[in-house]
Amino acid sequence: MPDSFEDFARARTGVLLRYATALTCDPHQAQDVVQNVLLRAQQRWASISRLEAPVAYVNRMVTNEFLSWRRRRAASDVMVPHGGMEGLSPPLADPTPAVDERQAVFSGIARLPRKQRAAIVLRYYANQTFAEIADELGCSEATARSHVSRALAALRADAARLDHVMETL
Amino acid sequence: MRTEEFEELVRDAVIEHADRAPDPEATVRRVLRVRRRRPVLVAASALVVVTLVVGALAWRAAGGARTSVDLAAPPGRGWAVSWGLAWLPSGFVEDNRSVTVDGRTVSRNWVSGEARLSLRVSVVDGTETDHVEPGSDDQVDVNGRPGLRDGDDTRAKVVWFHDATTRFEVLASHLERPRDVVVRVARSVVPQPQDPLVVAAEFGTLPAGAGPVALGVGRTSAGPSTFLTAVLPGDGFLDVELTPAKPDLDGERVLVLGVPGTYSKEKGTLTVPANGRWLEVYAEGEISLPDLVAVAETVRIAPADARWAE
Repeated sequence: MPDSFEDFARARTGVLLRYATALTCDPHQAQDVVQNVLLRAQQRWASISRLEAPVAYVNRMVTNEFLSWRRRRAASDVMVPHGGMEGLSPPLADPTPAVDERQAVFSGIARLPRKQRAAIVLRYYANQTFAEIADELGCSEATARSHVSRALAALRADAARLDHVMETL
Repeated sequence: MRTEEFEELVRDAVIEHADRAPDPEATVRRVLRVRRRRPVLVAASALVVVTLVVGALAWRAAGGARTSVDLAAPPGRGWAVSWGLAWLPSGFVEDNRSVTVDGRTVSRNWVSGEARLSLRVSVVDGTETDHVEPGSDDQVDVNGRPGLRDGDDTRAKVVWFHDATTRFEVLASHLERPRDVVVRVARSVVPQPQDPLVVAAEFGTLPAGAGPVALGVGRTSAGPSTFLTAVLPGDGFLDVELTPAKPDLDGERVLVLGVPGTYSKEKGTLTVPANGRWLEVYAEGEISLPDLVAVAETVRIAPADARWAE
């Protein structure tokens, strides 16, 4: 276990970013999430470093930050600047995305409700047991199973819809 | 496909997401660059804490402990939501629906991470159609109607008129090629009747110079939330949300109508339990903590009921 926060940050930021990117499905948001968590962990490092499992604790901070991430809704109302109109360029032809089942699951994960997505990532990325997932999400083991089960059902439905579309082409 | 095979597919997809993680070096640099707070700030924080503790003790001596604020609510009002999108870029989910306080513009907003897409439908004075004259410099065709496109590599919008009194606007930000995306999204706008947007909320006290702009229903990890937005003098804004999702409660202890809440200066958020949910007052801009508390203590707001956000 690294002694200083600096050692911890240097050793663990990459791992935390990968985990946060899997959770958020967005590298930029993952960066914000991890940065916020590390700044808070830095302030409390004296306490965190004395814990039995500081790595797991900070990991959980990332999970919680993701679950409570404030989407800056009002920021979306910031209007596009009314600067000079740019020259007209013809819209590009719509690229038909190359879709397959894997792509359907990949994009389907980003559409899952946050807790279901977190459960899926903990199960299939962090390889956690349902008991560990329940502990991480602060719910019962049955609820953790339910999150995973519902998420898988939703992802299967996405893939099935794609199958149907491909069959009708 | 067998369950094990499908789970393997999911595992691969989650790892694929993780593989898109940014290089950690920039994050490490930024985090380690932040030093301890300056003594003057520490002293100011200590003063706030002492004041709060004294206040809390006086309050306790005067009564008892309450754990949740009881907020009154105005009658709910409803607005028609009649339009939707036939096409969205991959990964987007609907995040919120809102209406301007004058009731003339209804917005639907979709998000994917930090990327955002908005559809706004406004009832306007027919004379505004003059703004979309054929032959304008950045004119685009939206299913046979002339539209105007504006924007850059970060965000873009297309505006067009469905008829003399119905104005559409599609906005995209923080995604790849927003100028192309807004055109494709605009062309996919279709009549799509939804349940009415019903919101019961209104501001009470607002800081000097602030004005309410919108209200609506948002999606959270625990179900629908009710929110109100106001603009602050300058470029700031104020967001009040009654949410079922338990927020991060880090921060200083603050009393709101005698109920302990928390204030995170770092996040600019005041949080207090209210009506069996959580009331969050979030601001970007020049606003003091007493002003935030006044907003929280006087807002009238009821929990949202919206199937699409469950």
